[in-house]
Amino acid sequence: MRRSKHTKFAVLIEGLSSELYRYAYWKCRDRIQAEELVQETYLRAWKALDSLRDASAAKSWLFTIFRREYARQFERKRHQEVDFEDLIESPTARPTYDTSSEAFALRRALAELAEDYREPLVLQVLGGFSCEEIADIMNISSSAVMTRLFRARKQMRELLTDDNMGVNEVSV
Amino acid sequence: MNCLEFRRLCLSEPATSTDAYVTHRRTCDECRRFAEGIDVIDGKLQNAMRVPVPENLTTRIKLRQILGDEHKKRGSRPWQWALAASVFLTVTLSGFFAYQIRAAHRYAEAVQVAAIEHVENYHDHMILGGAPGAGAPPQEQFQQVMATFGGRVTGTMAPVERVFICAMNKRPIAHAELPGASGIVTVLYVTGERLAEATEFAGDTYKVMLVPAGSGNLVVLGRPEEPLMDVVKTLKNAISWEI
Repeated sequence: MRRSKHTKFAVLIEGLSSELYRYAYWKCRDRIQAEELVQETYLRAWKALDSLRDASAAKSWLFTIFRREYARQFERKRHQEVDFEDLIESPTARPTYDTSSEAFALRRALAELAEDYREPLVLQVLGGFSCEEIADIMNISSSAVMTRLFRARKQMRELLTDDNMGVNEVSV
Repeated sequence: MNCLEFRRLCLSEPATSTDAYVTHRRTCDECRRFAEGIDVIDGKLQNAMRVPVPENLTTRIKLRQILGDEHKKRGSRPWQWALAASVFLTVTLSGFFAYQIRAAHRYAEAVQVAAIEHVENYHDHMILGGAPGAGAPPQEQFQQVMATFGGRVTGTMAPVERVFICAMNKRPIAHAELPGASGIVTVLYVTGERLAEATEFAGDTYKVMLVPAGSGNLVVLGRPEEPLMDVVKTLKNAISWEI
């Protein structure tokens, strides 16, 4: 039984920690905070692992724990706005990071979105969650998620058009 | 589904596979191109968002779990307590490892992680052949092993029970075990980035002290109730280091 718990937890770590970290990074926009939150999330997940009945829901369960932890630690604080350049690591230090001008423009556009729009977009594009799952994670209605995603993509396209990314205007 | 509905849905959930959506995408050329454009942007965005994940993230997560679990291992894996009660003397941590860690506290944390991992698995990393002083009494072997890492044992030491040279992060380390007040104590010495000051990390399973020494750091590890500071004082008094 105990071994089973350890195995389950190891799978959660190996399978989801990278995705969770990247989501955390885009949530916090700070590497140190992101990792601390991810570690804390896993610690809480470990303690609550017995409550995870459906393995297929593990990912959204973990992300939900993360959001609660984020809210507990940071939401009441006034975030210092991070200079966009700070979001980009030194290319020589982080060779795996996409440093193309296109990726730069995309990250800048994403950073310019309002948090309410950016978060569901990150969850969907990076996490691969459906609108229903995002609604559960964010504790809002599915229709609200769809509205936010619609606006997020529309704004992204507008911002990228301004950056001459070759994106055609949306005719919606 | 008309074109307006399709595009609204496409901007909200482009991966949806409802029949109406799929059919419209297949039959309307203009909307298909629109959806393909969204797919391209999403793909590029996904790549752009893939920030590098810290090198030892999973290890640190596991460490937090180990240290945070009050019930862990006490009954089920008692052999690890024997390991936890040993003393690490010298750990050579790779410059590569240090290079990955930006801030000093992050480096200290990484050393702690590596030390605990090493204590739990050191049998897999022992380099038995070629250790200086192999076959000699432990106290003498300890002096010789320390000398290879720039430490000269000149003072009185507690009895050393076992001494190894092991590998950690693909680099050689010295590993010694001493008897402690509540079990065996283990110490590592990590060459590489020297910490500015001593740090202590106490968890439910282990207590770890990092002490700058020589061209690296001593890592002393034992059970939480072990008075590690006494061991550290003994080590500091007994070993002088080449500058």
